Amino acid sequence: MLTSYDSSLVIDNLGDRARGQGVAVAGFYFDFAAQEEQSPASMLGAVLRQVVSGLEEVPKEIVEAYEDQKEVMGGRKPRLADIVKMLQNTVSVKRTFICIDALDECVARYRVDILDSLNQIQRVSPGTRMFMTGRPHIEAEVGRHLSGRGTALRIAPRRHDIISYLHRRLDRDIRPDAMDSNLRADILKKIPEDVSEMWVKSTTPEKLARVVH
Amino acid sequence: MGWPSDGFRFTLRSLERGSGSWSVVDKAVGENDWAAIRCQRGSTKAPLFFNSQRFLSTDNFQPFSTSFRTVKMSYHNTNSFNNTSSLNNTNSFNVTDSYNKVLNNYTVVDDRSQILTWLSPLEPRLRHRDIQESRIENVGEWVLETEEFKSWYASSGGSGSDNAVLFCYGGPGVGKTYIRY
Repeated sequence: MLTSYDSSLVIDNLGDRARGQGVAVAGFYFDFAAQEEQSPASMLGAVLRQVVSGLEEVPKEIVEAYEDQKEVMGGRKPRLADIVKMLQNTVSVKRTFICIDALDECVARYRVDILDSLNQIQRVSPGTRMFMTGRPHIEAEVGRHLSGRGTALRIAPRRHDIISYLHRRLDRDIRPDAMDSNLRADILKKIPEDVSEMWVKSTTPEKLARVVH
Repeated sequence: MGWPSDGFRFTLRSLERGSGSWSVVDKAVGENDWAAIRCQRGSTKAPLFFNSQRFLSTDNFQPFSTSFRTVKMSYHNTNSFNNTSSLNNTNSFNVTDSYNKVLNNYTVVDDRSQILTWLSPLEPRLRHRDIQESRIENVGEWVLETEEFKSWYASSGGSGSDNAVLFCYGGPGVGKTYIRY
């Protein structure tokens, strides 16, 4: 439940630290509902776009590529190879953090291209840092494509996270009369001990009360 | 929903240009429920296009929040009203057959934002903003305190054993989405 959440937290945290440091932070969220449009070229293009929008001037290479494609009838979208090249050049002049959420929600064949492209970028510009989230089965794939340059960290909501969440949830109970301080204390004690976070996420204060009784 | 009148003030939370209070300095209402307003903040003027259902950005027509008072939009074109001849020519607003024409008449997009849009039509900032708004304070912050995160952040790729990538994974049953209400 918390990976997108963690991603946004990390993006904001990096953004705060980056301010005034000449550091770029780019974020991307994969989404099942947008799978087709999140192609490698448009996804990496979105990363490039964020890095470029933080620059004083659009790099000449990009302006030229843009002008060139206008010559073609109807214009032409940037190709993946072009985007990768532009990204390589752009991130080599600026320390860049790239944060990618929910890699498992990316189409499998796209993911191969994206990870390969990120690898190419990282090779040219070794200072580039990448933060990624996804389900465990993606880890091996990430490791394969970005060989030996990764660390994995398991994300599970800590007891503390669940308690904060429950507090918030109980504060927003739409039927506060049914709740008293004892019941509330019971819920806060018992729920974090033995329920899964998925369950907590989908529950209501009524169900919470039933569990402790 | 009524159209904003002259002098109507609202907050435009621009993802590219920061927040600020904007006021409506000019408006025109087309047929078929289309309208455009010109708004201003300091010396910056901007066109906004919308219908009664939603606001539209000026560059790629992504739908945004319907609330008048908090307009979420992606907005890039501060130079858009350099073309003053069309400004004073209210005939331009009489286009009724398609909003593309309205767009053509009013959007004099500066190169920079055209180039950025060309690089990718996707707007991850919008999703970021949604998630950001739903976050609960103090939840998940432990990640930032882990050794893994700290050393990933501090490393710069100079050494042999580099950890350029920090991959965070959720166990089975860990949903991918953030908490929603």
